[in-house]
Amino acid sequence: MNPEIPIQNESPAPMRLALSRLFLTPKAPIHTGAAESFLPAKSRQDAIEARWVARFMSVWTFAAIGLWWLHGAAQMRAWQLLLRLIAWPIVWFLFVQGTVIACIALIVVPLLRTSLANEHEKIKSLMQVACLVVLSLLAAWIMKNGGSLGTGLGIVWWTVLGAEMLAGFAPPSALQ
Amino acid sequence: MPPWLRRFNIYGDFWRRYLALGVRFCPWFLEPVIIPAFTAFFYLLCGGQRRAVQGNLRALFPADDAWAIHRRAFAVFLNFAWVLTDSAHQRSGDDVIDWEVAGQERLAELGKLPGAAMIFTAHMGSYDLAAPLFVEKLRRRLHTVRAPERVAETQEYATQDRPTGNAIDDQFVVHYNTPGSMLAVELTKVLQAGEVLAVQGDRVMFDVSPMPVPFSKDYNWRLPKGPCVLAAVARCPIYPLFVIRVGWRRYRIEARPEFRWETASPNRRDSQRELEEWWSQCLREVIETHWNQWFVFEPAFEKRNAPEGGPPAT
Repeated sequence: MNPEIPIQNESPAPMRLALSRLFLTPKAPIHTGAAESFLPAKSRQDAIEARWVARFMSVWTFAAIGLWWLHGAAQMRAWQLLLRLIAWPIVWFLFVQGTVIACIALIVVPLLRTSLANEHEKIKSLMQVACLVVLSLLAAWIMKNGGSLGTGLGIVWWTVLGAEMLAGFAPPSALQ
Repeated sequence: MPPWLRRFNIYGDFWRRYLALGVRFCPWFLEPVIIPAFTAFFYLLCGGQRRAVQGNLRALFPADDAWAIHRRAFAVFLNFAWVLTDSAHQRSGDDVIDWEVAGQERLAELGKLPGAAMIFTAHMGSYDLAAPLFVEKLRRRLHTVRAPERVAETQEYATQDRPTGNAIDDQFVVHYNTPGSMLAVELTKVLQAGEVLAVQGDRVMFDVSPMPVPFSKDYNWRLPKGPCVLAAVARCPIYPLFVIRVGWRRYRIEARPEFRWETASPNRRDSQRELEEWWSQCLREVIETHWNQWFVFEPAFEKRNAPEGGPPAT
């Protein structure tokens, strides 16, 4: 925890993504209630960025997993399609969970047995890359098999990923 | 239920361990996707708790229809999930929580008090989460009371999983309200030793005696009797202090005006009644404002005309 400061002196929390620095304006939250002082965390994150990332990831993964899960719907019987539609949110939940758990089992657990065990931040970064790779594979699959909707969703994914990588090359000051 | 299977029920340690693993390694961009999804899963799974929260919300918002009550109850579950997640981050050593403090002067006053004091609080936010801040702000030992976990393995995990080897260990003492533990004697000793005791005065669990307090024309509030009895005996300063989640990884400590014994009746029974009324009023203001993070998953109200109901409506 950082030292206590008067709440009026609160600075906006930093953004993690280069794209957020490009499109979102960093703002300190509007202070409600009678708060007088503020103790910032060592590792802060902008709440608006967190909300936007959560929305994007939720909508994109839900739609992409839906396209994968409902692939071949035209050939299905009505009851099969209905069952699949009902199971869609469950499959989405299991897929996202499964991605994280599989990455932990395949990457984190072996690394915890090596000298890298104490390099928590490095393991976390590897996990992030691994999850992005899984989602990129999903994007590639739906682009190939998901028709025009799949192509559109895939293009959205690759555009966002590509733009973030490109924006990452620019110095942070240039993006604000 | 076999012991291994019990670990997977909602009170089991499996979920705690799973959360601890998740917060350590789950990518930050997937965490806000997974937590609401898990909340929906538990909202469907925990029928008893869901109905209890809905019942409490119905007493708070009698004009709401069933759909509005569902939405509010889901908001309570979601906030609870975020508080658990943030607490797990803290336990894993991540310094990710921003704090704001309201009632700075009262906290300073509490820290400087020469003798015993009590903190009355509610099941909002997390005292575990706020422990390092309390230690820093109060600079004196804080005792808290907690109900034990219902599953032995979870209790074992909860006690093991606390950060060790730092100032919090010495300054933040947890007393468990286990049957036959003589908790009242233990807490009286804490106050006699001139230390600060924090009690949650909004939830009646296990064999805790309820204290029915009028809430509305239809409902009585079931508040635990113990904290007010203890306070009336000790007659030490009482500070209402709440930990409130105000945003993404952001919490507020809110210290409200204290209960003054100088203005209370010298008669113990009368002063206890005054304290009960003051506390129910104080709690009411807070939960009406922050209803979406009042984490009481048991029925907190009873219909006034119920056979086991409390005093007649006033």
